Amino acid sequence: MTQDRSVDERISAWLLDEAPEQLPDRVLRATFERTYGSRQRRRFLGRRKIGMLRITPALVAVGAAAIVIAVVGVMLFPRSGPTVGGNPSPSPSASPTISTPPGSGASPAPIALGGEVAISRIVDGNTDIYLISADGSHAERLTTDPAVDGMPTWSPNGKTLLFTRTTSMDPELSDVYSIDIATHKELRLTSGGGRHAGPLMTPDGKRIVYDRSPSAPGFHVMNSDGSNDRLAYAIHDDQWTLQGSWASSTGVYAKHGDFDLLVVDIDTGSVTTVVSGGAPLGDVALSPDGTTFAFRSRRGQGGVFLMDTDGTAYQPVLTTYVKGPIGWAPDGKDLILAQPDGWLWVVSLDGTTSVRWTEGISSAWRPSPSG
Amino acid sequence: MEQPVQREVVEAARRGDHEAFEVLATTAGDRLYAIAYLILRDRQRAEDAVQEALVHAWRDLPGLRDIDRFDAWLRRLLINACADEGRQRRRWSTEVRMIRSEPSIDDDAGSLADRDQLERGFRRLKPEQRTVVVLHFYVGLPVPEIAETLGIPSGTVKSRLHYATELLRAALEADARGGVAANGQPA
Repeated sequence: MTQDRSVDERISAWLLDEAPEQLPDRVLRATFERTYGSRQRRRFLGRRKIGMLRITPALVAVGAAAIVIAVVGVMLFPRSGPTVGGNPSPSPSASPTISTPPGSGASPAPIALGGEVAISRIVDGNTDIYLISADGSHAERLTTDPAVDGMPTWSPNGKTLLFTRTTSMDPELSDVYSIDIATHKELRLTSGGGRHAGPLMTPDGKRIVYDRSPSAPGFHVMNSDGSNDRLAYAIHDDQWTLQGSWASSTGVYAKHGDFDLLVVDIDTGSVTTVVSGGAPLGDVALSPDGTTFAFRSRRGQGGVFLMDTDGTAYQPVLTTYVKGPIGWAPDGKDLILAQPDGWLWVVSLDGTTSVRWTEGISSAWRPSPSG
Repeated sequence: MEQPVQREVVEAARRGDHEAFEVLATTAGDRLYAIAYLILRDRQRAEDAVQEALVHAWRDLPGLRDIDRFDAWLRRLLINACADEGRQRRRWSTEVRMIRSEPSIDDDAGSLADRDQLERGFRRLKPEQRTVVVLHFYVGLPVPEIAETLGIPSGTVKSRLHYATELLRAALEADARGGVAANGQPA
């Protein structure tokens, strides 16, 4: 590995130069609030005094002694603390604009939305799909594979759930699966290595579009049983992402880069620009009535915004950092937001009310089963 | 920090002591952040990855069998968290990042050119290649320890490291031959 010292040294020097020096205190503060909650202990006020132990050699011995004293003190005077390894207690979010509602653990806080939601959730280090009722009366684990199961989306009739299973720690190795809700029977729909992700069933429920790379990169279409897979739209850079909504029976919303929202027709391969050059766009979600986009943006300090489907009537909902996918509640009056604390929040469109709802990293509301 | 002291602190944190965990997290935080940033090339996602790793560490610490392996175990949690962050977005490091155009006081033409070429070359690496490059050249881990951290064979680590180094070498040599084309490919 060290055939050429010059190159190795230049790489090492570059990495050292590129590495940031300090983790922001707010990250540590948010971490501690997530782990055992600020109500159960003093607030973390900053770590620079502790950090000095590492950057000032003269203080290392003093610091080590202080740590020993602290540890001994802990051993002599143990306190009653939370159960280690359990779910975190509810605590205020790091976000200043979302308040903490009642609720506990992974059980959803009751919200008056009704229906069922598929949620990708990490439990004991295993990411699986769960089906829960919005009022918390029912919860069911749908997948149990040790792999990471995420990106759930529903068939239009609500009988089948599509998801992406990543079988190793490499996010570029994944396949699309479906699961029958009634029987829990899983069906692997893609194979052959590489990344197959973000499945979305067509409005007529007969086909599935998904994102594939690096072999034949682009948006692919296949029948709902995985047959007749074909490349519908080839992509030549890694800036394209499917957005999980349909503009028509064959036109799916996709985003290119941070500023362009487009519709890709999976039958003709034609592309139509919807929005271009406005606010930076994160994930974009179409409202149930098809009139409004909700989207994340890193504009300013970041946040969630609304705009009409023609890119006008720009309106902020929240001005706080939101991490993951955005979804709409079925009534079109609330958004489901993933927060950095690993919880899903239900937020009203005017941003005035918010409920820290349940643990999860992505969600999909189940259409009413029919047929 | 002296290893025996860290052992005591890890043991205390494993029993659920908040202060002890705070010491561990604070001590490791900067290093974890640097690793995550170098792999993900995005500060926001690096912050998220560190937070996820530390939260998982608190939750899973009671299950850590060998507390002397705490550092390696925590690194592995971080690498997994980085991979999860990668899944949040279609690919790792797709964001445009401005390369500094104004040299700092101690810059010379050579180091500036190195940075540009290594930046471009690094962005062409696959996530798993970036990871081994960072663990080897930044953290300073030998191949067997990288293999243990990632849970893959040493041969695979060597292969990834070799390929990544060759690509970075090619990027540097392309610069020596007269720069790169506009598309980032060697001229």
